[in-house]
Amino acid sequence: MAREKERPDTSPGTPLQRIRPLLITFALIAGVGPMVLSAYWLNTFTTVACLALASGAVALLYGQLGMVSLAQFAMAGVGGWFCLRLVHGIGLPFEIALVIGALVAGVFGLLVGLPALRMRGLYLALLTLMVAAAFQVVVNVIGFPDGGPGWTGKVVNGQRALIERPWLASSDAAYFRYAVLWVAAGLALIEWHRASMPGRAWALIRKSEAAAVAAGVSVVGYKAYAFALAGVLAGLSGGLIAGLNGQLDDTGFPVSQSILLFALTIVGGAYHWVGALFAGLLIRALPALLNDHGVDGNLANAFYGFALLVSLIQGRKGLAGQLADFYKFVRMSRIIEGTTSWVGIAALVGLLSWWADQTTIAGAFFIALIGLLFRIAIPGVCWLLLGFFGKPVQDKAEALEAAASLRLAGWVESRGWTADHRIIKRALNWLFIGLFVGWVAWGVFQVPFLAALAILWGAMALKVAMEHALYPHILPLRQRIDARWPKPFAAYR
Amino acid sequence: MDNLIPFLVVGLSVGAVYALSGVGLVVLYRASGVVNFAYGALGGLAAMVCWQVIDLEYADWLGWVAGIGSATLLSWGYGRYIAASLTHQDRVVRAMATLGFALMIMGIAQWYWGDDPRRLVLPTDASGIEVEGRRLISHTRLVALFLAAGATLGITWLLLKTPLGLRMRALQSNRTLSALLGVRIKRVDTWAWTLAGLLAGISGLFMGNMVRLNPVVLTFLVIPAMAAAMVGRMNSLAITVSGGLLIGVIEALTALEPSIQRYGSATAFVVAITALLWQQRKGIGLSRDNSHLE
Repeated sequence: MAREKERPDTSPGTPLQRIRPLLITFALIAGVGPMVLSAYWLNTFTTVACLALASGAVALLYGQLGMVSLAQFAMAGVGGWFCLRLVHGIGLPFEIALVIGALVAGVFGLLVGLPALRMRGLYLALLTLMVAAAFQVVVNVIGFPDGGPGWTGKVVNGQRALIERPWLASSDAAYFRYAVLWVAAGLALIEWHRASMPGRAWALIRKSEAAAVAAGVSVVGYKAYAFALAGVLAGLSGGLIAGLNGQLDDTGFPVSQSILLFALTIVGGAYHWVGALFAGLLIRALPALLNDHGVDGNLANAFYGFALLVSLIQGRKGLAGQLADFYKFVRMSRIIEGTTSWVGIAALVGLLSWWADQTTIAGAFFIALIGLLFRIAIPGVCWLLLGFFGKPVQDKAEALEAAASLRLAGWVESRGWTADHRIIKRALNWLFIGLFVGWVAWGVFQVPFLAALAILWGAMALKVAMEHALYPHILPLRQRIDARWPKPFAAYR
Repeated sequence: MDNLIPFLVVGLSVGAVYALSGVGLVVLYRASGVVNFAYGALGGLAAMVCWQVIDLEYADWLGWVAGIGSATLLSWGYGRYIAASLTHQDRVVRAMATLGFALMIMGIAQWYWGDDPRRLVLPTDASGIEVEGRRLISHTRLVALFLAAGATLGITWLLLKTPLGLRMRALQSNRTLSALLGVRIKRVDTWAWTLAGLLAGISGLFMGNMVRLNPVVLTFLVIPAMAAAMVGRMNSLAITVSGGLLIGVIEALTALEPSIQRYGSATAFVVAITALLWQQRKGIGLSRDNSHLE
């Protein structure tokens, strides 16, 4: 019987080293976010952050332990429910209610997980599906608390009350930063676990429970702990969403959302915290963007189903995994070069577009960064999509692209310019990025489409021209840097 | 007792469709080891296609054929091409892949047909068995009950008496050994998926008639069907059918008790969770997938 592919182990590094990139990224997001986003998008991205935390909980169970939990969104609902009830009923401060709600959700998560301790993956998936479906019915009946009396705290006739935001986070921008702070803490907590004893125990349990028992690892204990932790984090995200809107929608926690959360966690990447971010974006930001342009949300669902299929066929690493794979081969010199040139170009482009009154400097900067991200991720995604049609098609396409690139590169060389043998791939990449990111910029930052296109393609053309002009001077510098520092992400999986 | 009968009738007929769906799920699981989350979506598509054809003024029977045919075709396509590329992965991954498939079908169906209220009318709706001048059970519901029983018997016959059934059972027992013995795995798998698609299409038509004609609602009716299948431990057809009928009846009877009335739709889930916990009480591993053990 064929074995499943080897799954990545916990990456090397001390816990603090592992957490640092996460903290830096989130600090950047918290700092820059409110400066570039409109009020509507700020709220959307706050929800994105909360969903990223819920996705992190799902990823914890699936990526670390191979356990499918389709009930995590229901756990978020539980956390939100208790948070609302405590604030309305006893008048607790938001933070305390949030934490207690999260802990209660953790208990629920543990209860759901207890039968799973002896169950194999598929039955756990079905069990959690039933739990999520039951939760949908229950919450439809009793509703979320809004200031009323009794156990359920539901107001029957009259004014529904909203909970107030914490006093140091009452504005939208402040709450965004507040939520991002909590989310960063939650995801950092997961990373910390992964880098220390629990992570190693989970990895061993995943590889072979028999070996774990033989090694003296308490399988029951660690599995239960994982469920509790996932429940707590999901509850935390639910409470944060409750705090954002002041209330929760009775119909806002259907089974379909639980299923989508799981599906998009896989698509985003269940083995890395960046995957959780992608999942949050896919669940919330992409539909909002599509809505803005009148695209039916159901088509987005269909696309997600397709993406999930592709992701599973391709080995389940998701978008974040593809990114990590790409980074594995990246040399330090290229990173330094890329960062400096992109920062320089983005700043230049920002100034130009500000002068031409097309967008704010920060907006243009952000567009450039998104472009860079897609520049890295798109080839991987295309390769992934091709793989959907089977390995022979993938190989044939790669061979075709390589042949065309070499032919083109030879022609360019014969003209006396330096050429990149991956020229075709890059050209297609740039074309696609220009169009797609231009569309995103148009939707999110209200930049005129043509202006965004001009910004992106202009930036890329500038970068290419710079590379050509400076290549002879750069090369010795590159070699010196590479000799000094090895590939930084080579061991990172 | 008299006023319980309408509830029993409704419960049994809805339960019969749960049972029919559950049978389809169990057959597919036994033959290929995949829990098909797309079952409800396929049924929903069948119902919508059927309604569309009838709406375009074509003959009724053409609509049924089109509906059931589309579900069968899609299921065949999935089994032949996509499921085949996933056979080396573990059961959870294969089940999640069907989830992706379900989302695709549901998304496209919901986009195309939307939320407009519609009704799928079957010719057997108009007539029924009358007792003392009151309608006891419509013919549609009777047909559903008979279909559930018939499908169970038919599939049991298929599994026990035909060569194809023998090969399906061989695959369920041990795929590798079956392949070594010369069983054409891809072919048997494809047949299993086709059969599952057929059953999905048929049960979809009935669901569309008896529950609601809406792609999303029909897609998530796979969950009660799974509940029925879980009661049958994904193995026994007879217990699955009984489970489905039981779920249907209990769900209908909850309408009588005001305090739990609104929780009625959670019946299937509660039954499934209870059944699962009961089955697990001695720590019996239900999945035969041992790929986690070295």
